[in-house]
Amino acid sequence: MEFEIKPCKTRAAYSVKPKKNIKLNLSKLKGNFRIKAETPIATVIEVDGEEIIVHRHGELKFKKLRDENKIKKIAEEIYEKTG
Amino acid sequence: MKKQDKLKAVLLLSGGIDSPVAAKIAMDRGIELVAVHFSLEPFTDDSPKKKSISLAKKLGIKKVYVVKHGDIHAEIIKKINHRYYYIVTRRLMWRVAEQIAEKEKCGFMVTGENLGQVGSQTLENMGVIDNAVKIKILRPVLCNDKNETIDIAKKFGTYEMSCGPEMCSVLGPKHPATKSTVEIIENEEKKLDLKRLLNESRENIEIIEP
Repeated sequence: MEFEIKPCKTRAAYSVKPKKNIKLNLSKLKGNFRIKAETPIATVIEVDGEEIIVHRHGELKFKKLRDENKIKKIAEEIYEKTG
Repeated sequence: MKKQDKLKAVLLLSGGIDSPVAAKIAMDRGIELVAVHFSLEPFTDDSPKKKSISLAKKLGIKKVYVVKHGDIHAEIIKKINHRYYYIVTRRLMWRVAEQIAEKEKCGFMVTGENLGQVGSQTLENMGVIDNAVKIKILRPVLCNDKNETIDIAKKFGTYEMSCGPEMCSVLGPKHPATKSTVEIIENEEKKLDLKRLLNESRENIEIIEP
């Protein structure tokens, strides 16, 4: 899946957005990732100590991680598991 | 307006541009403020909380109640019609703030709400939100043009702080209800255990002296 990685508007986080409209199956995060909080709209997961907000419309927000290569790798894994 | 003595209010402080301006206007009228900030962690990071504390310090506010509300909002979303998210959650936050006001002996509440600035901030919705509490609400920037508020914030020195990095909440609906009624919202609230949510809110309060 193609997606773009860039800092969000206020640069508080890194945002990953798919280039096409998608809908993720958030329930598939369970069992694959450590869940910190969940709603039908978005789920907060933890991967390698990094908190990521996964929105059902495909946007991922990385709270602290700034390494784009690592972000790309984690994003691919999330999309693969929930797509 | 003549300065008044011994007035005390709770301020709903978000970390955005409007609430610090509302605070400064109120303080210039001689009103002492105790701030209340609702943190939506883990659905945001801690930047709104940090900004609120810094803004409170800049404004000379001596006490900030930080209420951790992310998990409570998550529970609400699971049970209500998502279109009413802002109204239902605000009514709960108003109730929590009212209890803090009682504890702090504050006579009223100050907010940075601005009419029509976001889809949910309509007169109809504000009336429904007010209906949840008995405390009087003062909205110093209600009818301001956004640029007017920005100019005041720049003058007060809070603008740059408010514009700092902040991770927005992802929980709001794409199309929030702009018109609601007390009846509709009370029916939504029947899906929740409000008493427990209020208790949980109280248990998740951290008091910070900036």
